[in-house]
Amino acid sequence: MEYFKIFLTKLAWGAVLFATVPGVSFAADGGRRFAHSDSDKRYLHHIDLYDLNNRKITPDSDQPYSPQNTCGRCHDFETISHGWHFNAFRSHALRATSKGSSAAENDAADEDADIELEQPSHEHVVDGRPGEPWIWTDERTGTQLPLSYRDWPGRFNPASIGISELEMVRQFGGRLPGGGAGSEDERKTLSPESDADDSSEDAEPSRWALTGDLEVDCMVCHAVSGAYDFELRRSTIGSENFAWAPTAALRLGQIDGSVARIKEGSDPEDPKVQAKLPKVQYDASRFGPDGSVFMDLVRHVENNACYQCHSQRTVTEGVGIDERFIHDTDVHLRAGMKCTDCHRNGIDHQIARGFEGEQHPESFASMTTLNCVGCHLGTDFYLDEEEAENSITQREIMNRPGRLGAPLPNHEGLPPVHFKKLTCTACHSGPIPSSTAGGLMTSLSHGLGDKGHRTGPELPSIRGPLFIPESTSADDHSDLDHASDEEAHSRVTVARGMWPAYWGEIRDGKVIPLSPEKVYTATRRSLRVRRGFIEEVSKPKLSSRDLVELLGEERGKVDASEYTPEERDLVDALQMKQGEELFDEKVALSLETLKKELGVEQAVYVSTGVVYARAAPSDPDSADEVADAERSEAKPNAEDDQTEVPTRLLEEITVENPEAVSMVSWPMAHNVRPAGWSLGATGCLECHADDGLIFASTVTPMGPAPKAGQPSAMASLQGLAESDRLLWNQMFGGRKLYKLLVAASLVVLGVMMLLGLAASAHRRGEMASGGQPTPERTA
Amino acid sequence: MMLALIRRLTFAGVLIATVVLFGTSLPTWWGGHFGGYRLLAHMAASGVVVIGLPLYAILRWTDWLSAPIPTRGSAWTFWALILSGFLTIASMYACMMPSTTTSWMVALIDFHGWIGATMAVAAIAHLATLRRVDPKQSAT
Repeated sequence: MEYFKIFLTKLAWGAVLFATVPGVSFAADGGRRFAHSDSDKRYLHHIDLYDLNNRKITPDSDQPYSPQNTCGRCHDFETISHGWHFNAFRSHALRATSKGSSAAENDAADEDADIELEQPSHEHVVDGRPGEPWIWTDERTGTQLPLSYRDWPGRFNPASIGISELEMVRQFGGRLPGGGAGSEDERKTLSPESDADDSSEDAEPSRWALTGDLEVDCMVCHAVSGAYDFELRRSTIGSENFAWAPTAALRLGQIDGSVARIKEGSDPEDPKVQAKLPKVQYDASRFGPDGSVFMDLVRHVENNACYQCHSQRTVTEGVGIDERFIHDTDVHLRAGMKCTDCHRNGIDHQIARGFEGEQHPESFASMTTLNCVGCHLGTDFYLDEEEAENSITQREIMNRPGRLGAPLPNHEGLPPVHFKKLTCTACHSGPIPSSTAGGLMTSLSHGLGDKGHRTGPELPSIRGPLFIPESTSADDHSDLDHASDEEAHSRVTVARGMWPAYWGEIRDGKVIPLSPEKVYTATRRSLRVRRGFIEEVSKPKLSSRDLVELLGEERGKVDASEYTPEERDLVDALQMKQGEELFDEKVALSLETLKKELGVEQAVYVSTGVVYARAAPSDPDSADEVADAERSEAKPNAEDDQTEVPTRLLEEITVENPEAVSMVSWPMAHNVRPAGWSLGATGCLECHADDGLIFASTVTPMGPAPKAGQPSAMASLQGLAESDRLLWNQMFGGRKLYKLLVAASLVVLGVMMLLGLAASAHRRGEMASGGQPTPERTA
Repeated sequence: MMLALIRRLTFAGVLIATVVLFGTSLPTWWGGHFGGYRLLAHMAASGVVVIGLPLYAILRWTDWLSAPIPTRGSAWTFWALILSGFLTIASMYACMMPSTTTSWMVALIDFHGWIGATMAVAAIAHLATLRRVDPKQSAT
């Protein structure tokens, strides 16, 4: 049986190797079930389009085209649709069912190898290293709630806090390439308990029937740059026209109508409702004489497609979004590489994420070496002498350094212990660090790519670069096989971080977020925020009268950009003061409202690592404080309030699950800076000094609440005692002197050995010439 | 008399520092790596050896220039200590140079460990051979 397994393994390896050779494609996409072009050249896709009902689309059709029914005719859509990006909204369901199915899969593994190839099992959920969460952001309620269906620390599973799949697709579908909960087939496989928890179960099916599925849209990634309109796709999804998004994005025609305008709870079977569903007016010029449509696509995905969801901008405090021209791009891209040169995938679309120890379903060397170490140093880099001798390097060329022409770094003068303490990216990647972590904006969280008027401080407030230990995840992120778990997980890496802000309830001493949609509906009146929580509650704009009183008649009327630093401090202090009062009033009132309307025992607001709850009444009449707050809310800037001793309506409480309020982080890998711009390139003292950025730079908790969080040094986040670090730095401070001392010591010892040799030779000479040797020191 | 005291104290310092160096490096022989207070102690002790060993070499060798010369065992262990100490220090000094590549550094650190252990043996052997001489010295 064991030999048979080895045979199967070899057979699978052989198939994989064939698949990597152009022209000899025999990939795991169902063997010969689907046609291949088997060439490196582009295959021109003049193809027929098919709608959801599998009817061929003509210029007169009014139904959107279905990627599944169109692309799936020639490609293994079933296998593709379970890829990394497409399972973002279904990994929780797979995880729940994987245990039950594992036994069955083990049995299947014993069957014919052909079956293995035709039906590759990619249903094992390997969430891997934590990535960027889906951050549910609502500027009006001061919410920045990190969500993920993947089992990553600090993220909340949407299903567990009452956010339906429909809400998730509505909120984030514009950045989802489809699949998962957006697809009816996949929704059927979702875990029963998630459906059971969904309070809107009755309403949702009807809504899905209206919106249609957000199918896996192949063209999201494979369309050539310029052929796919991401903006139009996002706005189409924003109109809840999920099924129409692929058609709109390719600009195959015009979409008339919006599902969003159809009332909630409408019956999809109702002819009147159906008449309101969007219709497509196809552009006849897109159709060839034979009725086919040219789909301008490439197999090797272009960078532009990746940038739609994987862009980042840095924000300087008080200045705004940094100009793009000041940033250099990633060195790999400058060298002419494409994202997909490393982040590649097979037909299963399990894209290599590119971190060390990644548990890729395709666990063969050509995939698992697609990371920094794999290309630059070779996978044997971490092996000790004995392991290296026994390694497969002797047999597998792929494991050697230099893949894709990667230069072999010498790391001259860098003690090897650094490779066990730091990830490659800690020194080589991310924005150039400064003494304090700055703001970061990302495509997924801030909608980069959309036309907008972003200034920088918009929620969610993401900070970086952070130099913190790699997060541990629930499943395999074993990193280096040779290293102990402790070593692997304590390596410092560069990361982004954010502090969750949300409205929640206290249950059994733990804080649990409430559904943001429900919170918004419930607190509309109590918060009365039109644009943003920060500018209207936490940091309200000062009135002209306040400014004149604060800065004088003349300076009080100048534009804020002309303030001196002292004036700016004064204005900020008054804004903070007014913000705290307003925050107390409005949040206290909203907490009471949530308690009543959502029926929770104790409502709380979480921001910047703090849990705010309504203060315990000091006397029986204090319950009326809410009413007082409501009255005072009408004139929040009243002068009288400033002279009174403020009564705190809120108190900060502790919870039994502090991880629900503390920083959520995820590593960043790009942009990779040139070697000369890496940390430590100028020597030890770049890091091992009191102001070494990797230890001494700080990050301050940021959030919607008017609370100035305490800055934390990276060293403290790494678990290093400040006294130890300073002691170490002293050792490095005298390093040059120590080198001189060592050199002097070596010279002295060398001279002594020479003298000793000379003396010995002299004695031997004396003895040879018949002289008497000097007697030993004896009595 | 004073020189003899200084010489003995210097050797005592080198011997203790060598024991500390060996002791702090022990966990790395089973695949661990240096860090924290262990490395700090190792570095501090290395300073003692860097200063103490050449000083002891000078004091001891100049003392032996005058007759009578030491026993053969004492001389052998002395030079073994000096040579192994030289190589131990030199291998670490090379690692401190900004031109040593990772692979060289790994090899040098490996060598440093082995030659450092040899130095510890030589230091103890030197102590043992010194003891055999000292009673005779006292009899002179």
